[in-house]
Amino acid sequence: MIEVQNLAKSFQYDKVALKEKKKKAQVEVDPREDERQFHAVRNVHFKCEPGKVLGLLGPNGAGKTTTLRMLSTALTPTKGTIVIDGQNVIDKPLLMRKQIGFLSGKTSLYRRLTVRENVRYFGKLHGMSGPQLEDKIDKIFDLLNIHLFENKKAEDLSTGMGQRANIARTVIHDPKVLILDEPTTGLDVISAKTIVDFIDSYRGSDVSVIFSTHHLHEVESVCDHVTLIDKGITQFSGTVDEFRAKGGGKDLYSSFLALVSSGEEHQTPAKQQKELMGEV
Amino acid sequence: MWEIYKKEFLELVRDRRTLIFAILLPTIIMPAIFGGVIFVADKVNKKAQNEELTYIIQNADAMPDIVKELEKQDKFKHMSVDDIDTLTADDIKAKVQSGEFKFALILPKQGLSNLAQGKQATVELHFNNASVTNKIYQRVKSAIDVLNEKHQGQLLAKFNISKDQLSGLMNPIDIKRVNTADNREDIGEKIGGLLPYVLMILILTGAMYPALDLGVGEKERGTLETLLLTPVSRTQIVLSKFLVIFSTGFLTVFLTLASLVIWSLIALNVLAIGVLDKLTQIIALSDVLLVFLMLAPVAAIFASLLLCASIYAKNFKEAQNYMSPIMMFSFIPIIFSILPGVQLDNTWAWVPLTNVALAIKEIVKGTIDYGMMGIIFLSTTIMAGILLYFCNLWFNRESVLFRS
Repeated sequence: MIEVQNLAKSFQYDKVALKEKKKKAQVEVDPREDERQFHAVRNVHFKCEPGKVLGLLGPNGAGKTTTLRMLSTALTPTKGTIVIDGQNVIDKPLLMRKQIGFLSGKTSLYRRLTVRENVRYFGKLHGMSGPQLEDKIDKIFDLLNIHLFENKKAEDLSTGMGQRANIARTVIHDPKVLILDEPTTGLDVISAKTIVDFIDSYRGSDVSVIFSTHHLHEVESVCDHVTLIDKGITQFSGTVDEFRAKGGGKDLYSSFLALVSSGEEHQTPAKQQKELMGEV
Repeated sequence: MWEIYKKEFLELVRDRRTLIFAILLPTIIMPAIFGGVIFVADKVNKKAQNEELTYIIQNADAMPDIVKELEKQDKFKHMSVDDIDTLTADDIKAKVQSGEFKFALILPKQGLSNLAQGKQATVELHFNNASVTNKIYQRVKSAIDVLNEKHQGQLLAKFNISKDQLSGLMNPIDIKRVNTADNREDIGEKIGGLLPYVLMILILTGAMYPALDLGVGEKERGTLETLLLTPVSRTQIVLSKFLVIFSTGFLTVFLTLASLVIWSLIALNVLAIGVLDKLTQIIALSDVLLVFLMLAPVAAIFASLLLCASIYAKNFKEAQNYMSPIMMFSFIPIIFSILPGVQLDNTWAWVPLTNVALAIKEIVKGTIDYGMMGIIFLSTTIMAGILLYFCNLWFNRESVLFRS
């Protein structure tokens, strides 16, 4: 199980950003900004039990990616705790990385290595080796139907093949927590379906899945719980049904709009509205 | 760490750009370019030596011996031009430019009487000297030198003066230069200044592309983040990347030197080039190994510096912008080493890069102080260590890794 409490992350402005901020200061007021720092995440909390899928929602710039980067140990939180199976991730990041699998729409494979070489490389970095590693690779490749292109270089793969290979890379070390940051962004319907099916396959297992997305129909189909972040603060955390109820029981889209700070700054642009409705 | 090193190296080897810059450039392309330049220069020189020189002589009657001597020369062709004795310098210039003849010789009207009185006769040679490859002056001079010698002999006999007395008359006290430098020191001084410059450029160019690829390249492609999430410490990741860049830079210079040795041996045996024969006799294998030893910390300095810039950059374009100043600032210490008066001493031995450039020069000359080599190795290694330390610090900073 993964449990996140009172999580916060602040970034120091560099000189250029500080200059630009001063220019904008009179025009916009953002509660996350102060003189010297940007508080990207201010108070995020949620928990996800094994076998459950948690959908992490929020408008662009809400702090989802920063939160997931903290969960994955890429960033160190300014404050708060991230506990996986009773152990604080922040205290022992190197050790805890063995428990975490991370996949995002932006991460990719090593272009000049074959799919098998890529997956084998990450397996070795996680301390696996020999026949045990090769067997594990074969099993995952069977599951994801990768054998046909396992000897192709990553640079020669289609987007869908690449994403399947990326999934194999993410789970090669049997992580207890899977963190997926907008993994379906930019993918065609078939590739996106592969990812969603893959997430669905973890329901009822001993793995906790945290999945951030803008596509609410994906949340509807695979998530057990929803956490909605806005301006770096958890606005809602509960089951999908509870989330739906927040919008008057209509649909998740209504709940989303009702929960994000109802101020004018969240006049959702047309593209994001379409994303929310799963049209993009 | 070893896994990361192996993977990075494998990826680089599979990259066409690395293949070109680190392997083909030093082993095939550079020697081919050098060989091509030498071949063309040799051809041009031979052509200039053997080309037919067409010429005219003004006031030919004034010094008939010169006319006869030139006519005896191989590939000299005396041309006849109308109203030759009335041609002005401008006319001659125009005719040389138009290719009517290659040169014109204007003999002094009083030439013979001047010589008879023991005076000097000045002959004017008009030719296009802008072309650096032309041999007109040398070829005409060698023809006239024959006459000079003959006339000088006659004069000495006439005045009853021996050649020794003539020397005493012309230059009563002479200074004879005795070069205490042996052949090796002499050659070393000539090529030793250039060698470090070439070798260090090779290290830098060999290391540059891998540094870009392994730092900002990984950032841009989104593979760095996945690597950061493996149970490998950031220090180990930096060290692996550093070692790959270091190896590539070093490999480039190794391949270059190895290919130069091989190509030189081929040229020596097949083409029998005398200079190479001399070089291989004076520079021993141990000297080449010493040069390598000196270059190791240099490769480490460049690898750390390039990795720092590559990790810091937001994108490939920004990283490339950092490369030019790095190259420029790296050359300044090397240029110090070729300045007059800069010698390897206790002070310069502590200046990174300059010290190595000076040491390589001394190694080639055969005058290296081995004690000094220890100081150089130590100071350069300390410098590389400091840079690597900063590189590691940067790699552990979120603001650098996730800079956007």
